[in-house]
Amino acid sequence: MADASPSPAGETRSNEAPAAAETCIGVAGAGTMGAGIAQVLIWAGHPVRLYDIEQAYVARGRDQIASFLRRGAEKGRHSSEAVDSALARLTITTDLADMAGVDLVIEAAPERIDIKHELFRNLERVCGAETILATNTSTLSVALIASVLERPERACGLHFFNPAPLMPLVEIVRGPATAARVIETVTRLAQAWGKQPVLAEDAPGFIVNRVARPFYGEGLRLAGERVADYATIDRLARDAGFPMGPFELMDLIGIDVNFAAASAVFEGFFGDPRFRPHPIQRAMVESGRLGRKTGRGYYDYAAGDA
Amino acid sequence: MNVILLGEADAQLPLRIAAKLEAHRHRAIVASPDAHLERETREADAVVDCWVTDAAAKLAALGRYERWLRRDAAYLTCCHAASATRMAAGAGKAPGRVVGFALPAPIDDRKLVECALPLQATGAAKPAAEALWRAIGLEAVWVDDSVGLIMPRILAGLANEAFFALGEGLASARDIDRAMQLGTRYPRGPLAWAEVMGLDQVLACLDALATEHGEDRYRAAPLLRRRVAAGRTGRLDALHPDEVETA
Repeated sequence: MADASPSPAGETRSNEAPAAAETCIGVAGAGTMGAGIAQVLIWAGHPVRLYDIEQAYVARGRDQIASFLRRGAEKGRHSSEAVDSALARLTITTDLADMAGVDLVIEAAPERIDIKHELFRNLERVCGAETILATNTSTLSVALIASVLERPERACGLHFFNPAPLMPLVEIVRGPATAARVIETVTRLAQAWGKQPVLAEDAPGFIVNRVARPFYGEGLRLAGERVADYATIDRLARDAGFPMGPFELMDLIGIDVNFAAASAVFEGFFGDPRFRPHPIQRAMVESGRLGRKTGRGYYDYAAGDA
Repeated sequence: MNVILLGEADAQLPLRIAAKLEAHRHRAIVASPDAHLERETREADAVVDCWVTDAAAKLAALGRYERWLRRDAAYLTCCHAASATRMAAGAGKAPGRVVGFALPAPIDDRKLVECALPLQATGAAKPAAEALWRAIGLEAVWVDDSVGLIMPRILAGLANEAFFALGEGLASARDIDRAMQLGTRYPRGPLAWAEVMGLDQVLACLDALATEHGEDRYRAAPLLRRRVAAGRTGRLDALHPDEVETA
């Protein structure tokens, strides 16, 4: 998105994709991910209702979207008219009843099952029988989230990557009850948003958060066994073609966030040793060295290192 | 510089290193480990064992070539599925001249080569090893000896997890590779990468790690093992041909 297309204005866009303006989408949860997803949707031409429990949260979500798009306009990536018409498609609300009449809801609430269950119960009450209820969860199963629905066949996973407006990948997750129609619809929509969807079954970590584990896990074990230090391992990984080595990448992601993902997949597979986190990770978290955001992780950023 | 490269019949690594050496006007002979090259070995500056999948074959080759080598020549052994220390233990006359290395495919864009000294090493062969790699434009990065060193171990882990996911029907081969390239910006998908490295070589690395560490963590995915058993080891047998490059 936000490419060098010569006429990204709203009217041109609606000619290219007439369905977008007629497909209204709700986003439940206005944090970084929820707002990023809402931005993708309004930019693709959809009317979007962005919900959160407090006015301050939804206002902050709208501000995040507006400043992201306006920065793009200042840099000449798109016109400010396109930004205005995209923002005009965004409605913020703290009343879940406003989700009535939307065709799809994407839930991006905190990763707590009690919060998600209450939200999905209420969404099913408010929304029409045909509304698709998607979750952006990265650590919980679609099966568990959909278990409170009377019609679990309408639920699926729609896992965006951070930052949602820039990352092209969307993992579409098929729960055990998900209807084929639901998968077809969200796949078509994701393609229309300019995303590259992949289809995954409902297993811990889906594809990326699971298959990526050895990159960090073996890196940590190699460092723990003193085969090489962090900087040497990172340097060799970059030489092999990875944009970043495991340690600089964990510092960027947040060592706590990466450790939580590792622990969730480990628990999801009932302690399979393939996924066992490393004591170094816990020690880093316990000592408050969380990576770039705290100025120190595997590397010391305050000292201008790395 | 005169170099003898040993490797499996269809292996890419010795051929690639030989091509690079010849491009830099050095002399390279690619031979199978059971070839009788006494005269050539006596003249060689280094023997490079690129054999990966069979540690017994590596030890047999080491035993034969090492006794012909000049005292100042190096014996380089590929550590993708065996530690340099284990190999050096099989070098009767001069274990000190054994140096380990790792260089997983594809190697054409590499600037670094992982090198490791066995526990028995004297370090005497270090300059010869560094000179050889420098001759083909690679900087030696010294790490501690271990099975698989750094990148073969990380890449084998990624490939193995991708094969577990594929075997369990988590997603298609194409979607697994696309997800890793788009979601984590890996330069190639782990399944396609495994095919470039050779599935038999990935499996050999995992099996050696499982033996060395005695841990279930390194057990190979059943689908990976079956594909190797069926002789579908990659290279010419792509899981999804449109995304696989030749090594």
